[in-house]
Amino acid sequence: MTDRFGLLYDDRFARDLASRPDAVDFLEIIPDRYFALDDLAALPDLPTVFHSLDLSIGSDEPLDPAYLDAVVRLARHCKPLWASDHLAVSKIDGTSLGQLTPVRCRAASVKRMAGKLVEVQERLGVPFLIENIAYYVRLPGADLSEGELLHRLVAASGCGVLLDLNNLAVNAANHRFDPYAYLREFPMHAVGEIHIAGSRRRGAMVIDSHADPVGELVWELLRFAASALPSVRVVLERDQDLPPFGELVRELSFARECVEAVR
Amino acid sequence: MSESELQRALLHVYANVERLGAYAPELFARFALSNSDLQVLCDVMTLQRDGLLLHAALLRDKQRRLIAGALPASASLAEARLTALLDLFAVREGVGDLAGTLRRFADHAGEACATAPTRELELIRFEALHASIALQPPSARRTSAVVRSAYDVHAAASSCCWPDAATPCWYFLFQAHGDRVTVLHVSPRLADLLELFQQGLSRDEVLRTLETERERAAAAASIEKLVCAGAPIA
Repeated sequence: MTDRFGLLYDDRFARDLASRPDAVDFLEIIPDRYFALDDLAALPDLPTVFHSLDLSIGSDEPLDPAYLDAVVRLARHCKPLWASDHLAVSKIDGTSLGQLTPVRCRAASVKRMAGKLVEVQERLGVPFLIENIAYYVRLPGADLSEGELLHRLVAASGCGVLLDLNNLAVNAANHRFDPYAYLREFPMHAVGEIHIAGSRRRGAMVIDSHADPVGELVWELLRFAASALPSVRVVLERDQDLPPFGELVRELSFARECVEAVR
Repeated sequence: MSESELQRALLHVYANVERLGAYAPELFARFALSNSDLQVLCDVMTLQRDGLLLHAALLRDKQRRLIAGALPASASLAEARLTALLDLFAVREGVGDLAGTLRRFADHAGEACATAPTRELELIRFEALHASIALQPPSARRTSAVVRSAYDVHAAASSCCWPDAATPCWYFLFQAHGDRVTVLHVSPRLADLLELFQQGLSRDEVLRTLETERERAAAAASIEKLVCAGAPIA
């Protein structure tokens, strides 16, 4: 398979994209922003993938049927190549938390989370990936590493994983661990997509900002990850402080160069 | 204990970390937590306060961005007032959907307006109500709003410029099935009746508040027109 490079879609660059559709191979769409079908009329005619925010795979309650229905409805319209969401709790008692919050990585949670992943895949009818999130608090009481938990979820549900390299870099900086050791433990065989994005310091910590250029460590991690994979699908996430479209294209071109350098 | 209960307690911490102070088990008396769950909360609150504060700040930032993004006219015409209102708008434990958050924000602006009404506050309140109704998911029970304003804030929101002079206005906002938000200028008397509907009164109960048969007939005709226009009133 060929390496592919895409952007997180943002209405604000729709016109620029229409004039340069060859700049990207595909678009990642956050379905939550387009549950009203009318909003999709202006979407460029490019292959799409979905990246939802609120399936809350990590919470202890069943999937929210209304939310899943809305994603499925949109998927029928957009026909994404694959879909993804986060290894996170985003909803409790049916109420959105407004923020992705970390899960405790515990063996006892695998069956419940895998069941939800199976249900999502069956409903959507396309491959489904689960993403490592940026977290600012590490919950004690885990009996698995995040990599081990993801391995088990892949094995139990047949899902793939979305490797977010910026989240990894942010977590490694905030919680002081080796990101390369993390990658060596990660289920690389199941990686279906890679996210790259920017971060910035905030007080004593680093945040996943989606507002800054991709950092040097993320480029290094991209080279490292790409060297371990036969092909990659990379998405640049930038939806805050949006720069001119040309700058996004330049960053995506640099991502291509990083990957080609290790082929 | 279920993982959910620990997550509920963590949510309480995320939303209130700035005022909770140091860990104490009494803070979590309303949650059904095991000793090991309490130890998790103790560790997090004692050893990871920076992370908790950051998580709470990011949640607040996100809420501010979403609200401000949904109120373009207010951000343009009343930026300082909008910022001040957002500063005082608390993050709840679980934000719910954006429509609900905007409705709460409209109430927040309404409270400020009741104390010291200004055209900026009236615009913010109107635009937040308008956006909350526009964002109702198709599956939700349809809602409406009656707004009184000393200025034509609907025109201000539509044109993004202030009217030349104050003009008292009464609006009725609603989303007809599958349509955009409808904004009607209504008479002060009809606005009073529509507010009774908002309090849960039925059509008969609303009409019975009127004294004469002539008033009741006129009101019934007006209400019928609204129903035909798709207004969600009984």
